[in-house]
Amino acid sequence: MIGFFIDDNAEDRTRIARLLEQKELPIDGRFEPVDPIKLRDAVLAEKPDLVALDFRLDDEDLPENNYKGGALAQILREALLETPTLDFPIILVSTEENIKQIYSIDKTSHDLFDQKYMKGRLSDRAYRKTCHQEILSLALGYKRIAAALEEGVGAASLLALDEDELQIVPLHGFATDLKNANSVTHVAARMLLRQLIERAGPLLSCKDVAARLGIATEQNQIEQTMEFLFASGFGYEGVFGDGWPRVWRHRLEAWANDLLGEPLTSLTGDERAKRLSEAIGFELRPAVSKWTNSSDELFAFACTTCREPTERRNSLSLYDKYLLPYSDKKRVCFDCYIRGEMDRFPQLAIDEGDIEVAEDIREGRIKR
Amino acid sequence: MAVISAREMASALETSVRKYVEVGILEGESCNAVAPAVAQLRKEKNNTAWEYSVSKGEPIRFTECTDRQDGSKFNPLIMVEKICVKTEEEFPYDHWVTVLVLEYKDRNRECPRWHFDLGNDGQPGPRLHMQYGGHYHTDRRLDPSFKVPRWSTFPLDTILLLEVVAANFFEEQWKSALRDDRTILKHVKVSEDLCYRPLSDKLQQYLTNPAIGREETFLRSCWNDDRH
Repeated sequence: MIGFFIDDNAEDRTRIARLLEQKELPIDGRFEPVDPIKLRDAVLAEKPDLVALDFRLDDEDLPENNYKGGALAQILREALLETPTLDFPIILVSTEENIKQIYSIDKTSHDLFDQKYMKGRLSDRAYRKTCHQEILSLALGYKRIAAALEEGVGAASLLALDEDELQIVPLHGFATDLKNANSVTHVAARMLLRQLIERAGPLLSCKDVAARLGIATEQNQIEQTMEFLFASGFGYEGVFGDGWPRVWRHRLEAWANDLLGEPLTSLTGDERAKRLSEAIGFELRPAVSKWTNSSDELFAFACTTCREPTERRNSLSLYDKYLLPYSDKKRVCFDCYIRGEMDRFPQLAIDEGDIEVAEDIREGRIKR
Repeated sequence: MAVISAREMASALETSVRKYVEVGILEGESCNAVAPAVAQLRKEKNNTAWEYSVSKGEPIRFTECTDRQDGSKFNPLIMVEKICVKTEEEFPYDHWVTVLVLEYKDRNRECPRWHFDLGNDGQPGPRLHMQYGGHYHTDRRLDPSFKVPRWSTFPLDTILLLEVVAANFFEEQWKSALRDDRTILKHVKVSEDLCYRPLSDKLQQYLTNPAIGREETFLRSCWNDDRH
């Protein structure tokens, strides 16, 4: 496999390509952002497995490179429409400043990139490790999607579920969207990422799992729990599962229901942790509500801003224009709200139905 | 008896909630609230004995309503502690607790709560009953202290509670978009069969056989500690 990193800054081309590459996926920084059509043809001739772009390709004083990453991504995507088996992931690797100030307002280009990464954070080992894991998964996932679409198999195969189990998961809408992707690999990839992997719903990340189980999010505890859940066969093994570890919610909940005789979220964090500890065979520490400082709460979801286990009672619903019937509604805990944590995410707003409760918190009518 | 498969109930729950969300009277998160129940039911496929719950930590939540008296705001919530039935049996209910709460935004105010319940062995009152009160508030002083009356009545499941709340609190949307919807009608009919038939068969038998009335009243025939 081979990937390419394209940047107008010659020094970054080499430096960032080094940071992005791994044994299974070398990254080549040879291409300069010349005339976009020529560049497109040159890149496609190499049959890449991944292309990483800086967002600003127009910094240096060359008359022919007055375009940005979005434009190049667009013509690459267009060229691949007719050859879906050659399709590859396109990621954005740029400075935090460019991502926040230029990319974030260029909404039309958002669908073109599978993921975005910050150049400045790539020197951080943990960030780089996650990035490597994800981009390798993207490159492999694209091939898996292309093969599945060529064979004409549907959602069950991409998600590694048998047809019987697919009936249990409420993914009828997803299967329809997938059919409407008309066998275009990058469209199917985007759906999987945005609609299933990056949102809590049928698939849960480790933070979502902690919230469902009502347990504290200490790293050791989470790792041990996820290991147990994967060993028990609840893990997601479909496309991109190797880059983004996820647990099937319906498997987790069926197991918990058999064990507890009632839904997880009917029990307080304390009770859940106690009864699950006995079943799992290692001690689980319950989550603690950031608002009441108590574990005697009905934790149900991870707060959108702090990702900590949160109870419905002490949280606010967020406006969500992309809410799909199978995705979890986004909520924010009272604590994040009162501390102004939402300011870090300017796209978030309190849902209309909860505006008065928000006011009650601000005015001190609802107290800790 | 109304033989209802788990699969049938799964799609009734899933599509009803979705339709209520589309009409704008249920909060979007209600789809999440019933997702575990739907998955649990789907797993049971064509089984005619099935169970599900809708947790109090994630209830089905209607959009905001305004109290006509004092202008205060509340959301009706539906929860199912457990419905466990064997639909092929004459008396199909093994376990039944469904709950309706009007959750006021004002946290220091009592939130009215009704539940439909199957009396435990030896518990006084009608075996199938509806009752006001029970525990809901974190501050238990807000829970009403009285336990009676236990009204002898049909149990209501999620689908029927949805309809009752829609008709009472969102009459306009109910009339314009829900009550003639063929899918809703089909699901309501199935639930009516599950919830009304056992008691109505008994009532019909009582009313058509004068001999029974000489020995006991209908209420007594429903009484939990004296059942036949």
